[in-house]
Amino acid sequence: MIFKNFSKSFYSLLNLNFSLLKFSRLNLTLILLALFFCIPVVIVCGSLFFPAKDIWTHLIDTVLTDYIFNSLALLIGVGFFSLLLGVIPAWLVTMYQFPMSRYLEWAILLPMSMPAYIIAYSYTGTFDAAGPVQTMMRELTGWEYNDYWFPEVRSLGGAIAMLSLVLYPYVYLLARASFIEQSICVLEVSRTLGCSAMDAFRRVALPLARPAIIVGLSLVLMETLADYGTVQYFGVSAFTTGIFRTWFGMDNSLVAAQLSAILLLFVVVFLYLERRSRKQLAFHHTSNRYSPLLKQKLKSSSAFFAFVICFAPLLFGFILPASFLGEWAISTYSEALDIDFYILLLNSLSLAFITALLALVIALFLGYMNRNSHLFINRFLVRFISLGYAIPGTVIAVGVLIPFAWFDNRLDEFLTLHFNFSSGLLISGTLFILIFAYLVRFLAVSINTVEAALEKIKPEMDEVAKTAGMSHVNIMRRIHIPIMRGSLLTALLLVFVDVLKELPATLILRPFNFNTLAVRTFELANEERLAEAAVPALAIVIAGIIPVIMISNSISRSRPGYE
Amino acid sequence: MNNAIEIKELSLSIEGRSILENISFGLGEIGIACLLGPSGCGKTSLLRCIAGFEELNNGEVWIKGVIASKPNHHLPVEQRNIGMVFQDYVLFPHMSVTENIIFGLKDQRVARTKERLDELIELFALEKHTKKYPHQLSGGQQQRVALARAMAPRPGVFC
Repeated sequence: MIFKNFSKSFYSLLNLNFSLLKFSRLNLTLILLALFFCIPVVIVCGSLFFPAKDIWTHLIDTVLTDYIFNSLALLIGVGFFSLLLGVIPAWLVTMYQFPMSRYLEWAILLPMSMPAYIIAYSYTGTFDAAGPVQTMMRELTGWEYNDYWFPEVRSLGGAIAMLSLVLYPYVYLLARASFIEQSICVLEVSRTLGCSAMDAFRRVALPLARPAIIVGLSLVLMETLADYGTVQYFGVSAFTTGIFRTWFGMDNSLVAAQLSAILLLFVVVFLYLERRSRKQLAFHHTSNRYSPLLKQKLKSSSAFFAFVICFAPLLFGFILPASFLGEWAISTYSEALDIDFYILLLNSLSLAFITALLALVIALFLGYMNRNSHLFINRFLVRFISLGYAIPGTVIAVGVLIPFAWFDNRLDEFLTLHFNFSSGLLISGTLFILIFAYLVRFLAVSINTVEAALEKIKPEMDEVAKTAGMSHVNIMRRIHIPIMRGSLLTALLLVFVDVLKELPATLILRPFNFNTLAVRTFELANEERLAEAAVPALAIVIAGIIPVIMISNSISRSRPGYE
Repeated sequence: MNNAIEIKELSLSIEGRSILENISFGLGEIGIACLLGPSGCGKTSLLRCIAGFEELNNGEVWIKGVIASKPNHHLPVEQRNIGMVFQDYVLFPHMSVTENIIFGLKDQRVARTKERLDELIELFALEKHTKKYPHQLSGGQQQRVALARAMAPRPGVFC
């Protein structure tokens, strides 16, 4: 009660001071929240004000060009293939019936549950020179290692392929949700005006889905920039490997933070392009009529090609790598499935769920703030919070660890000095700091998805509801949430799976005696114990599959007028 | 077959539920017909059959002397040359008024397209709104754009 009164007084005081700027309590809450979430970003950006000329001269002379070239090549390659693998299957499974299409519509999402570093281990273990494929080839033909050409898995091209295969579901998920939520009437009108089904896709459905596709693509590109496990394992010098090398190899956290700040510049460009195109294409549905989506049945060769187009990403992104892992897991499961394993599983699932839920609640708050307020500062703060997504997990971990460790140490000093009592590591040694780091890292996923969903709700709908006497809470509960349900579940799933797979921040920030599946997999794979890493790796994949199926079904039902 | 539209013993079922049963009528070349009936009686379903959005279980639909629908035969919607204005207009939200109107024009010659566009813009008094997007128009203006868009390709039948 005392705290409540204090909070009220505090807010009143702040409100009084800011009344000239027409700030509300919600604005102030947003500013405080943004300041809190911006701590790691501020620390990373703040590093630019500290000179480190010698090391930069060395970097420019040696590896900086490689970092820039490889990072750009990764962005272009992964972006292109993710669009190709995400958009076309999304359209095919939404609009057509062909063999297995009912299963493929959710199965295409399965690679999402496969961390990029695990698929990289899996393909390398199978296709490199010492792997079973090339060994069998040499045995059958009698060739020696240098007698033939075989695609090099550990290469820039290999990294593009691995990242595309696990990241395209972001584009697929958002494109499919958008295609499903489009009014079927606009497609029917285009048919009466002489458009074939293909023309209707190109001229109507695709432009209408563009905001959602760009959101999906921006998520893919930010994930690509943040990837460390795959590029490190393949020996591709990108910005993230450079940051790690500078940090742990050269023991220079300042320059590592400065490299991260350069990475942020890339992200700022993507965010700007995304926002700009969203603003230009801020479509509202011009029809409120929805008829059940009747899928067209494809015949013979069309059906076969549709099946191949949808099945190929699933085969290479999930079935093959999961089979390789499965084979290794069969040989090691009897030793791996002990009580420690189940503790790892519980730790991972609970962390992922709590973070996803918190991220959704915060994203809804931020999304509504943006929607209901035209203050530039609000939009700026939300964009600033979203930048955390592009920062590598390790950099966020240190950006979080430094201020909290500083706070813990100061508090400990104060208590020891005045009360002869040591508080130890009050915050920095707990799960709080880990969940906070996850939120900083993954909040952008929820924000992007929630904002895309909010853009679909006509402001007039709120006005109609208000004239019917509905409160803001009721408008949200009875109008907004039912319309946005599919997108909200998408936001929940995306963060859940991301946290489940997250590695570097967990590695650094986890409390003592607290481990997760991802960390265990990394530890084993890093020691080249791939067979033993298969069980926890498969557990991550399996845990990720259930929400993938749930979300796919929910998206199908989320379409207004669904029967 | 001198009628613009000829319906013969048309029946339609969707997911096992009978929607229309044994409908027959004909509409002359130059004429306006009005389809009246209580809610849920199947007016929209009948129009959807004529436009080609539904495949028939039984009966025939003839448009301008050409068989458009019968069991195991279905002329695609885009080949029926039917203009339709939907109940709530369904303008393309990502296109301007001009782009909406010329959407269905197949003639690649710019001059012809421009001529038809100007004609319709004048007819529907849309001169001040050509660059606007649907969400910037009033309900009446949206209705006029929807009419202009449906009339632009000079459809043989107008629903």
